[in-house]
Amino acid sequence: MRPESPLYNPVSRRRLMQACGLTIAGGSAAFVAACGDEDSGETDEAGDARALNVALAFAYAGTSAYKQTAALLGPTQEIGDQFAKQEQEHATAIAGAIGDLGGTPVRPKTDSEYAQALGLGKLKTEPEALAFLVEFEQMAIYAWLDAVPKITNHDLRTVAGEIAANGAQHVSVLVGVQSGNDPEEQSPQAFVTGAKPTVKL
Amino acid sequence: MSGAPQIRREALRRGLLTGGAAISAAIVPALLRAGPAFAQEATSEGDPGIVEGAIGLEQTAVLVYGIAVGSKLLGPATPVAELFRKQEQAHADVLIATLKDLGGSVPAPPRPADVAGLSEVKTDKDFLDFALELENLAVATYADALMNLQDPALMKQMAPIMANEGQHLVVLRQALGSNPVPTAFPTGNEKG
Repeated sequence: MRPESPLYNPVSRRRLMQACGLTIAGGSAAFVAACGDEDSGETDEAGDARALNVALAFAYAGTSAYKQTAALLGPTQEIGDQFAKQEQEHATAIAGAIGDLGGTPVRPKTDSEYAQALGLGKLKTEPEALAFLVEFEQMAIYAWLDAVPKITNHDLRTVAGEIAANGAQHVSVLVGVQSGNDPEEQSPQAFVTGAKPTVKL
Repeated sequence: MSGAPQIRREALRRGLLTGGAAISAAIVPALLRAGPAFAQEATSEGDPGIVEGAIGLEQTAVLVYGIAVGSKLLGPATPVAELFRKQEQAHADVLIATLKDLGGSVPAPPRPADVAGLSEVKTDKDFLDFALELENLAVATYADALMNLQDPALMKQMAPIMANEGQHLVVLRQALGSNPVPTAFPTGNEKG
């Protein structure tokens, strides 16, 4: 690969990967050829797809959870709408990437199935919805962080880290709503680890 | 990977340098000129070099937040700087221990004079903008670290730090009145 190639620079390469994943829903044969070539000798595409699929389930569930709790969020509904879109962006990108790796992305469940699995029917108030969403995001963070060291494709590993960081940011905003934007609550620990999932998706 | 190319890549990420350009005080914004102060120390290759570069950045953050605390520049928001200073120190402490385990040499902490532009921070908004740039640089640095690290144990160590820097960005952006989570994929390349 020539040094002046846009793929030579790891930053440019990742940009290209993200562009592929975000703009070509459902995958692209060009993805692997253009974005994963450097890693081809050392990567485990099947293993990467497995690791990503576990976390992808949380992106799908998160999208549904934010949509289904929107009515409870009242004045913070705008935040829920924004985060639902971001969860969907994660899901679209990762599902496409898994397909490009030769894997089969898990399919999203229906809203009613997520409502059942996550206990959304029990939520009646804004504080309850916020508390649930924080708890859910903590599990999603755990899932993405768990995937990071298992992913052999350098670009996808980085994206998984970025999604984990985005989940941590969601938690900060949601906790901020609960606490009146108290930084001690929004950034309580120097090392964000999330919480081990207690739901089966 | 040595530290200097990594810093140049961060500048490139922001579109502040043209490809192949050497770091130049004339074209690199003030904060990014802090880079060479610790990059000079980052002489190791591979994983130790990546850890070394991250330590330099964390040490810079500790210094910057410490100055904010001491100056009372942020007024009632001073506890935020103290909170973040402690968390950046916690990151640095863990990374320093890791680097020692890897047999690397811990870089000397920067001095205020090494962080170009810091002396020009006069108001609370100046500081918030400065800290925002620093935190974005941190996220970008850890994103690149995840891409280039070889040891999965180091990936597990750095990803939670990257997430915490992302949370710092939320708090700073809210203080500045901007969208706290402007992107689904925080790369550190965000404007603000």
